[in-house]
Amino acid sequence: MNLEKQLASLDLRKSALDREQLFFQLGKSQASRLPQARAFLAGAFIACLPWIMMISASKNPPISNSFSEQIPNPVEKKTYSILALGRVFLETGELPQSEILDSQPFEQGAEPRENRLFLQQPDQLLEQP
Amino acid sequence: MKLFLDLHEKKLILYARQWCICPEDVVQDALLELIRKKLNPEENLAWLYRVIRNKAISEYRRKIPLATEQHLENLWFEANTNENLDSRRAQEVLQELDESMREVIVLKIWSELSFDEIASVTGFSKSESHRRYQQGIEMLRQKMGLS
Repeated sequence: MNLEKQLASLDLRKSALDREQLFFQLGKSQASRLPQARAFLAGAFIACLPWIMMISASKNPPISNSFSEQIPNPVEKKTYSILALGRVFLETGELPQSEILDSQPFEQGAEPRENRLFLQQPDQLLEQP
Repeated sequence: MKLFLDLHEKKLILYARQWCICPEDVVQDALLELIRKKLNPEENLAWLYRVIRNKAISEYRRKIPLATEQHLENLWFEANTNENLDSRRAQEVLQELDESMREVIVLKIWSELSFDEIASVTGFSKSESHRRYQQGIEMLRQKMGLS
């Protein structure tokens, strides 16, 4: 057996460290980490809040002026007077689905607003036999 | 921490014992510092040895250097002698060595550090640590009449 192995085989003297104090300090140190972790998480959340809001906003459908096939834009619908409506009724025998259009500006020389009606598809109704 | 202490406690104390007669106090302080700094002991072993070294050397410088008798009373090893090696004799021969050689030998043989770690603890380069270790072992052989 060489000298290094002989030396390594010697038993080291027993020690008397105060382990209780060490474990007590260790416990205190670990306990103090919990509020630090909470503060860190709260800070991280606040820092990320604008980013989270941006992400959630980008997932919502954007407000667009383009027309969708399923949802007709009411601004594009034509307006018809009471007379035109009466003509449709005389020819087809029924009234088309109608609603009073309030969003359109009042044109000069046109009938009063309350008499103007909005028709969804009057031309098609007229073409029907 | 318990596993770490079971594994390293005696080694750390032996390292500090080279300089002071109350190595337990020095190691205790160093371990408390490690806990306060919230460091992982396994990952910061070289750091821990460095702290112990600094504290033990400053302790040694603050107090009156120990007399030879006191040094000999401050046993490093248990009394159970190896068949081929008397522990008391081994301690005497180690204490006769140059301090830097003894330190490197203690760190290599009992603390089982690599030469990289020894270099980090002592401040010598890796090759210098290796050279001192070889010289120290050779001197031990000669003093013990083994060469």
